[in-house]
Amino acid sequence: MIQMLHVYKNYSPKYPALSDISLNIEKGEFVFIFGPSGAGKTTLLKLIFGAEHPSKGQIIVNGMNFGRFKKSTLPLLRRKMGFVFQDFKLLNHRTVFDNVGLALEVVGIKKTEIKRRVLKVLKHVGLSSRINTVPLVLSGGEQQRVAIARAIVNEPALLLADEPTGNLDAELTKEIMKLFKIINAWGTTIVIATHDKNLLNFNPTKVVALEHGKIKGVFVTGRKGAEETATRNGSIN
Amino acid sequence: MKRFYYFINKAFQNLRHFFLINLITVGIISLSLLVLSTFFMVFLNLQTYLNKLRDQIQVSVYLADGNTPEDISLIQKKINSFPQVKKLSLITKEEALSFFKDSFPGQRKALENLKDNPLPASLDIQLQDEYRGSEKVKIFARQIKNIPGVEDVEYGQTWIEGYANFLKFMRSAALAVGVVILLATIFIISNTIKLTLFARKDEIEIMKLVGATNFFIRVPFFIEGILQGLLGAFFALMVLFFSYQLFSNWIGQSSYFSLKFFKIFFLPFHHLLLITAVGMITGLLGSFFSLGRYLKYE
Ligand SMILES: Nc1ncnc2c1ncn2[C@@H]1O[C@H](COP(=O)(O)OP(=O)(O)OP(=O)(O)O)[C@@H](O)[C@H]1O
Ligand SMILES: [Mg+2]
Repeated sequence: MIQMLHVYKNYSPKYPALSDISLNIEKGEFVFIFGPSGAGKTTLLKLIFGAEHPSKGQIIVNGMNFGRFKKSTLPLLRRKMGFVFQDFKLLNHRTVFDNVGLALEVVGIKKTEIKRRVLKVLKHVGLSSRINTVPLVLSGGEQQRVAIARAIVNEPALLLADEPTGNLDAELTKEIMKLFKIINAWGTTIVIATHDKNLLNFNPTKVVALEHGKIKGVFVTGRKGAEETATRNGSIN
Repeated sequence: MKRFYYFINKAFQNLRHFFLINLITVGIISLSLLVLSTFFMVFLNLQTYLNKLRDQIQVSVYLADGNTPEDISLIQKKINSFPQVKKLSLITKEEALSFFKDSFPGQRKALENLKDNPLPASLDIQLQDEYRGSEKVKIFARQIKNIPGVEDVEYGQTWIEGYANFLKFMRSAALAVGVVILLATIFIISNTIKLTLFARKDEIEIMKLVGATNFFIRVPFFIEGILQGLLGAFFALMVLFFSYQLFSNWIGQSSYFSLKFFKIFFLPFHHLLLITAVGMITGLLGSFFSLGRYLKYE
């Protein structure tokens, strides 16, 4: 699903945000990008999403090489992805319904179908009662769930989530992780960026540890605790 | 087709949604177009007025007193053979006198005491349109003056030259001012739209993030721009029309201005269409150019 080969990203020449990242994420995998603040997690997700471009290296997503294809295919690629942004990126003056529906609207799906699917996904994230509210008056956790709903409403092949539980309490976090697990079971590849160690315990899952823009190691965690299986700087295979 | 309906719908939805900002945009477009159309109207009226003045130019040919009626009709024939002549009318000495008496009733007494009629007979010539230029009138006048029995030719020599120069000057000045106003209009409208787009850059960004194509984002904005231009033109022309009505009423009642042979007119229909088109096209181009930068590949 995702291949990165010796990828570098420098926002400024002196201080690299990512350096020599190589990793391989298979279709259907559930992966955490784990690391402290400033490690480069968001940058990594943005590269996969095509919102930033690598300074060096190759990125292949869903069989498409980001360096090669025409600009106009990026929107088509994005329709197969969902992205939960760290800062949500909601339209603050549109209703919850409109915000979530937007992801379907831009694909040209019929109104009745949009309604059906948006209502369904809002039920999943527990926001059925907030349909006609604007994000401006929602709590942080509620906004986060709207962002999640928008990211999954088009049933993406790949879901990228940047700190998707950063504003949620333990109970809601559990709910959302359960939701991600269900989506993963449908076959969606999931990549979650987090600095929250507790999150890693919800699933037996792969963890890519990131620090100072470099991969420190790749783990597989389970309910019984973390056990290291892969090497430093290595790739998941 | 269904796509198109969606885009129209979306454009109207946006107009409603960003009501205040759209109101301001439409207001500014209106003002710009009002300046443009006022200028148009003043120019057209002035030009038509001056052309009417020119149409009134006639050449007066004064005949020597010694001419017999036969001589006069010979002269008339000769003059009539010139291609410049549209209409020729004879004013006899007697007609000239009674005309003079009517024009200056105060002088009637003095005239009655005269033994001889001091006024000459004359021929008034109306010129064909294409011979009304100042140079052409000059040449024609010289030719007429050479006809035996003609004493003098008069055509408002100094006035006609001044007029030709003025008209030339006014045309180029109007062209320059018109172009400047048009450019300013386009500039103001596209910048206004740029500002409104700035307020909506988040929306554009988010649409891109959820997979909207540039085409999909653009079209409603284009339609919106065209609608803004259309509304702007509509309001501008409404204001212009009511101002025109007020003004021409005031002129009609005013004792200072009496333009006997001229009535101020409103912009003709094709100019209304032109102003509307300018509004719509600048609305479209404004959206087009200001969107460009928000839709760049990131
Ligand atoms: N647009 C940008 N321009 C310049 N520098 C940037 C930009 N985005 C990120 N950086 C820098 O790159 C580094 C990695 O940032 P990134 O946002 O990827 O970290 P992160 O792991 O997501 O952190 P956090 O957990 O706080 O969200 C940081 O040092 C940050 O300052
Ligand atoms: Mg981040």
